[in-house]
Amino acid sequence: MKEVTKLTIISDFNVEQLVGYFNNDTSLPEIQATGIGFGDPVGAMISVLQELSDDAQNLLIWTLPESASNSFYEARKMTPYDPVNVIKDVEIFCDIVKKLSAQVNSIFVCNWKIPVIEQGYGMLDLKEGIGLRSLIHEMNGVLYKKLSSLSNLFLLDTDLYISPYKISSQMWYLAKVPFELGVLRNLMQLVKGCIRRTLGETKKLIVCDLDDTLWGGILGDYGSDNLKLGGHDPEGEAFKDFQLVLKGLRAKGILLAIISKNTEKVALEAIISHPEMVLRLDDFAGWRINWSDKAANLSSLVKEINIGMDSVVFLDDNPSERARVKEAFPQVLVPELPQNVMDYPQFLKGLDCFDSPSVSLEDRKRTELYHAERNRKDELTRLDEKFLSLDDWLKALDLQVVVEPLLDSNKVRASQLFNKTNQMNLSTRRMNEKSLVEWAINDNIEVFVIHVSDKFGDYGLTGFASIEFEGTQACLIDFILSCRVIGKGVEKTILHIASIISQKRGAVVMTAEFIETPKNLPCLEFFKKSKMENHNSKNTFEWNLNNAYPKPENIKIQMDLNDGT
Amino acid sequence: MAKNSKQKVLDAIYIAVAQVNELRPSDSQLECVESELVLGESSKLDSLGFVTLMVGIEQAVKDGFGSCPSLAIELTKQETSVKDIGDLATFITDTLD
Repeated sequence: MKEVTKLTIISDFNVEQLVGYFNNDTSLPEIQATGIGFGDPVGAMISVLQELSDDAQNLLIWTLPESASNSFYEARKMTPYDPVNVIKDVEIFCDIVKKLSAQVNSIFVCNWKIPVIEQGYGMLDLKEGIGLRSLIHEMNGVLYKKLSSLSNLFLLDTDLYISPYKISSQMWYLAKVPFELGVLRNLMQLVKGCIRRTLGETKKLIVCDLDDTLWGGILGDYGSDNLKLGGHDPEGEAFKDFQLVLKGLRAKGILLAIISKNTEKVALEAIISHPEMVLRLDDFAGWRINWSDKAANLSSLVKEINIGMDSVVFLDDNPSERARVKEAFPQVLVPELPQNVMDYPQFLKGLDCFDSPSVSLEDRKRTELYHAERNRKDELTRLDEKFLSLDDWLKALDLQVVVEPLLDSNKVRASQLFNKTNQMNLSTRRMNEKSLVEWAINDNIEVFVIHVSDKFGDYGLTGFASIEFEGTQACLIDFILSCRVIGKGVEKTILHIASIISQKRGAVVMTAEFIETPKNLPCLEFFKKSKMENHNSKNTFEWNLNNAYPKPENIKIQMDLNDGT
Repeated sequence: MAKNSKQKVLDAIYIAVAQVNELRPSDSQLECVESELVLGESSKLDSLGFVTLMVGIEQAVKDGFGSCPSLAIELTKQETSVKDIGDLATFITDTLD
């Protein structure tokens, strides 16, 4: 069955056309939109609050500032105003929005703006206590301060979709639609993009070419000293700024990699030693620098980094290389780079495919995690040559597992792991962060997450488990492990921890029911090989809690749960 | 001159029709033909659809000719013989001339 995303638009003006845009746009996800609130958006919000009980619902709140604040309406008549009253109105507006956010899947709130064409108080308009624009800034400030902490609420900048278009007086007087159609189309595209990101559609890896992409010129022909990069050269400056934008994306958690037709040694030397390089080797999660086919290189690189092909963006100045990758992997985003290299930085800044509904600490450290993994593989290769056994190798890793309950500090990453993990996932449930936290605080539920590290570095928060208790039975509901740590004994450690927690709650048996999906067979394989008993052909596994599930010898555990363990 | 202008006006109308069609389900799209009804009970357009189309046409005609009558007002304030896109193009062309 086709999945349809429901969206209710609350507004103080006629949004029938916007509803039309949402309902008839053919791009995914399919949206079923309805509009309410015409004339009384706050009243509509209150009635939605009382009637809505569908947490699959999404809300878009787009109001004119005078609807949020009656005092602002008065101020707009150019009469003296008391900012305190306006702020109080906005606080009430925010309180209602906050309550709404607890009842829906996602909520999008547009900030407020005075139309560019309105003079207001002219040169005094940004003066505090006088100007309308100054007042709008204060109102928006309250909006950001009061609503930013809600993880399922996203504030949309009106400038992003209104600026290129105009207020339409005609449509206002004829149909109570204050904007041109272009504004509505822009907003629809913006919100659909946001919904896609909340559904996990976001790019995670940028693969760049080198010559005429990261720097100007052909390294093999010109030599490192003659590349266009930085310095007093307009194109050189643009290439350096392009690298700065990439560096910013890397800081946000996007992985960078290189695929270039060059001699590896020469290219790496340029990256390491060119004085104007912004990106250094540490910034790249991997590279393929050789003379082979770029599509084949991309395939092997993506496999090494262990990321889906649909998470990749491929940047290359050469149209034939772009066409080759596009043809080989239609799921890869291959943007057409601008003709003029001076447009590269702005072009990259304009791509919205890297947006994400949250940014966790693990996201920001992602490149370091991949470096640690590469070091592990290098050492494993070296040890392989010495015929070291897997057990010896695992012991040599000094694996440590830190166990924590679900906390404010880890819920963003825990929710990402919960919703994105496919392979080592017992039941593959999907729940947004808010619903997950609400479910986890039930008395009969225990949830824990694990952080894994070894002598090469931190893998981050890579495991999640939940247990539901009924009488003397403990039922393992979620058993989720990032593929980064599979096969190192961490799976057994989770069972060990779950068994200890279950014993403490007085349970005598721990069960786990495997729910099959097209992607989670590795999880079934693990349970089949585990010491848990599989009584019949059904995919249900059982552990008698007379004893805790055995802890792997190679792993040290630090329990940091609330019960003092 | 009038024939040439009418074709240009029709082109402008079709630009606006394409914009309005983005808001409409696939089974009730307006066709870019002179016989497509824009006014009257048999038209596919409701009042908001009509206003949206007229404002869109005004903009497109203004872009091409520099001016345009206020169609939504003109076509609703008096008895009009305009029923379809062809009539509308004639009305606009005559006004521009």
